[in-house]
Amino acid sequence: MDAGQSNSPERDELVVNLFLAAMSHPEPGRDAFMRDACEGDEGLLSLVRRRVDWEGRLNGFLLKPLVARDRLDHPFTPGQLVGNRFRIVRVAGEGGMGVVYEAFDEKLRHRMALKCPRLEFRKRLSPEALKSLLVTDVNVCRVFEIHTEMTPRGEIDFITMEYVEGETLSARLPHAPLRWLATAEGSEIARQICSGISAIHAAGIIHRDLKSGNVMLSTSAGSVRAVIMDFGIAHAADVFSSEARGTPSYLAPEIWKGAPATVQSDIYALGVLLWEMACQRLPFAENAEWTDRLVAPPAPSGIREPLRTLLQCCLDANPDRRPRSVGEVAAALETGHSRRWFAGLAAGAVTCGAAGALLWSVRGKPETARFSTRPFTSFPGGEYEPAFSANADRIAFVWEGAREGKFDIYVQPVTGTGLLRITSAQGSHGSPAWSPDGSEIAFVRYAVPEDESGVYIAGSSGGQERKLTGMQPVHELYDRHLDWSPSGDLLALADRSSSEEPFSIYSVSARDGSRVRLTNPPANSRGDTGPAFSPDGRSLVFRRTVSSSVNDLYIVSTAGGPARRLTTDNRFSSASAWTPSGREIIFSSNRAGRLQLWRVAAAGGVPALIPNTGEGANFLSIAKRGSLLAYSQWYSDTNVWRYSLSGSGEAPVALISSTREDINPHYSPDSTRIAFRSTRSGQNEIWTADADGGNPRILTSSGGSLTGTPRWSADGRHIAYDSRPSGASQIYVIPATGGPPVRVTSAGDNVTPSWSADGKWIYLASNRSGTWQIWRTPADMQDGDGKAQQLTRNGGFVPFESPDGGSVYHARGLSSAGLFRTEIASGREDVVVPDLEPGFWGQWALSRRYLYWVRMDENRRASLYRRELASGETRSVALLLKLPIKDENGLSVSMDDRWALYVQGDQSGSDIMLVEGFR
Amino acid sequence: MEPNAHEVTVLLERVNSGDREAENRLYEIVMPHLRRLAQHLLSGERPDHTLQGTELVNRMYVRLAGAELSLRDRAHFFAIAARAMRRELIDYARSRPRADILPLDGLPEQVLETHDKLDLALTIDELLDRMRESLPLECSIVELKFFFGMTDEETADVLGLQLRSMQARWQDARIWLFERAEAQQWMPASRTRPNATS
Repeated sequence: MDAGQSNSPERDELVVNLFLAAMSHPEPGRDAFMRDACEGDEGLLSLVRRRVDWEGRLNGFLLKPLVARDRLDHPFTPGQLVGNRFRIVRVAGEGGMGVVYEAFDEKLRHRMALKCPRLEFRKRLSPEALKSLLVTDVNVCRVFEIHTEMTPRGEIDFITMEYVEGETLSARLPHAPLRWLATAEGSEIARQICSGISAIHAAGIIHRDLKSGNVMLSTSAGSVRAVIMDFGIAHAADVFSSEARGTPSYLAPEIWKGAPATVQSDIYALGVLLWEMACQRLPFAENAEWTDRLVAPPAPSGIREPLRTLLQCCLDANPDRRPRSVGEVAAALETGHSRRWFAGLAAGAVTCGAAGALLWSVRGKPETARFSTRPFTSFPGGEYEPAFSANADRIAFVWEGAREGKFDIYVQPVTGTGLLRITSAQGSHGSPAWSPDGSEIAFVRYAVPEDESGVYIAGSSGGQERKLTGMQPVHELYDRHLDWSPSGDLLALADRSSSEEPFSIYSVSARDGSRVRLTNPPANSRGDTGPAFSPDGRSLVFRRTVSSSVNDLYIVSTAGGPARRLTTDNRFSSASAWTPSGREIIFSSNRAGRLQLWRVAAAGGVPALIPNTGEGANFLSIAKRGSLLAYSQWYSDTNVWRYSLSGSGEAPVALISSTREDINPHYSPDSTRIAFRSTRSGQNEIWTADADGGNPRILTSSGGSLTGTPRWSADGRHIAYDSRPSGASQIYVIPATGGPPVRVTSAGDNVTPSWSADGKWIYLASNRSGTWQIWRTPADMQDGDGKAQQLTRNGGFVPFESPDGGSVYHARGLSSAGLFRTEIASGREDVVVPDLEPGFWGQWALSRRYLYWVRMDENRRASLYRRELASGETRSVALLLKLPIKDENGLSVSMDDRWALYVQGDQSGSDIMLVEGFR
Repeated sequence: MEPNAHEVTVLLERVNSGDREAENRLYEIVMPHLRRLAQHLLSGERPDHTLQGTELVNRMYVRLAGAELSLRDRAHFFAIAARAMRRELIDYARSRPRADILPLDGLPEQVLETHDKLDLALTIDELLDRMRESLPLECSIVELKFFFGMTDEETADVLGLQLRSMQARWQDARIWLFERAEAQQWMPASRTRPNATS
């Protein structure tokens, strides 16, 4: 009876609510759900988990009473006269809560519905049920009266209601037009539903179980009437029984967590219902984890602004960010159809914040920005990794500055004048970290010979530098690798024991450089980087990268011990810092599409978006005082350009361009269509467009995870792509005209798919064996790993089948040079292009006749080369206007060899921004 | 013979102040009424045109105690009534071992297959006697829920508990019983042999 130790009603309330929420959560993700819901309270978690575990073991023990309780299953029979007035016609419906009869009111001579709750009603009539008598809206099922009837089995209470003839919205949906909500009828129905819910809310009632099955559509004289059913009479079901507390697909995340129903949870359900009307499906798979519901998926193609944003707002995990009332939803729907409010808005560029603006504009109360953000540096080239000194008077940062392609540490006062260069030696420098007294700066020197690679310390006003400790050489720093403890005696360093190992966090003595390893990331992961000391120096937050572009935040004690996972949604975050109180971690993540700032309690919990600042933040620092936050903001506008290869002299054109990233182009086999990846919807999704770039259509709805590398099948009917909805990257196949995707891989990470000419196989790069190799897997088999074949042994990335089908061309790996051809039958490997640069693995393409690749000349100009496969004749076919984007798929050539699609960064860079008034 | 309302009231007050003797006396008073009720329930008759045990006890309570009493009195009364109901049901089952009145559906299947239903009921009955010593509240919850068939809300209501607290104690009680029943291989302690195998 150890649960008896904490028997306060408040504790019971909390524990049992969480227990109930956990029990109603699907088993597979239940533990993760509990962990999330307990927000880092380990004691609470163990109490809840114990109850959940026990309930599984008890398996219904004692739940069924020894003397079966009499439930009022079917108290009346057809033909019976009830209350001397209502003739029972038939059972019209049954649910967990009660039985509904169609009856004929002999007194008023009309049809009505009669509902008996299963549980005894008289004493259980909720205040809301009483209130339901007050609602008289035309779009709400009218409740007339509460009656009591004596039956042979005792007194039974029932309510008489309006009998609504028609069909439910859910029954109607499959027969409705595809974009129903965009039609006059659909929008009218939506308006009526909003009107009905508004009336219910106005009576002080929360519906609690709003869903398409609870909306009746009745048609008379050609006009449709939507009627909300079944409100306000829901009982709390017995706790251990399996009776649902609402319908999972419509439940707001906070309800899953055990919070009480509110107007906002009804609005969430309304959002789901409108979503169904907009595109004939639910926003989340019915079995989706609770945690997968925290980020609303992008609205499917064909839904226009502002509806798109409205839906996303209604589905926001944070109830405070949802529309405040159904009236606001209705107003937004109206304006959407009148198109007055959104005339000037570019489609696709609207975020929830913008929808918020819409809603505020409807309310007439525009929100004022909480923070003031201004540029701190906007030098040519990229500036990264800002770091506040302890007294917040200076910021150290990294800048390309004087030496293109090499980075140095600079210091500039927060006031903005007096730039000072700290490093000037060979190589690049990164991860500046201040000593607590502000007199010194530690940094990492990299891209140098091994014996020079390491952690150095220099005076913050210039002066002699000294080496503290060596470290494994790296060529590029993608993340902060260093921090200095508030007490000054320790540094935290992300380093590894060999280039094959993942990075771990080490605690390094500032005095003699001796080190203790603090974390043990899984093998084959990129490992742990981005360490940051808590203000009390007792903990470190860091990022653990398990797969490309997928990481989570962890916290580890500086005294050692296991690391605690802080975020659990397998998204990508690029920077993290503690607030001065140490209670929260601010981090930058693309979990809602683009990199934005989020906050999460250091004790654990659900991350919340910080609106109005920090977009594109890739590094950040928070001052210990003065409410200052600095971040570096990376901006990139990559577009797909078309180059003519026919020698016609036609100038290159930006074929597919938006203000966001457009990348990973691929020509359909008949060259009439182009698939590409774009963030124009706010999230990474696959799009298709006509060959001239027109008619762009979104194909996927992946909900924010990196989704890219679309590749057409040879018959043009399907597109394979890679996506990371739950962490590991997997290959999916989707009909080219849209439809549900099928996942064809599940083991390890799988990226860069392409098709065999006969459509039977998908080639891909997979790390399932521990290293990146080329595999092929059946194209038509869900999770067909068992039938997959490994084709390369020496490393492989980005495969394409040779025109004769007997070999596969491929790059070597993420940072290896060369293009290769491996014979499928024998496994024999030949070098094809030895000098394809590292990081250019996505800068080549194959047609039936030629192999194309991007090559840099001595002056660092990029050209497109091609080699005739038959003759081996090689020549340059186009001078490229800009350098290729490294580490991306950026080239596709039409099968007729007339056009090349090439991705170029038309504008990119990084500035440091200073946020004042940050709390 | 009907006890008078005053006597019941006085007894309840004494029960409230922890008088076990008063509790036993009250139990004796209530028992015959409960027995009649239980027999009706089990024989399929329909006393007062209803099967609602809760309602019946409420009526009995009003009849015996005569007036609306405090919540606490009511809790004690119901607890005692539920205990009486348990006694009656067990006695009934003992006297008619073949009657299939014990739907012990929630027990592990292999236990149901290998054990006599009466044995299982007796096991739980015995364990409840032990439970009353250390956990009287939990014991009452089991009696109200399992032997009386009350809903969670009713049980919380008559015991004057918050719903969630009642639910927590209810699960605690089930765990307590389950652990001990397993330990004695789902056999009444009186018949559990140290080396018994199932």
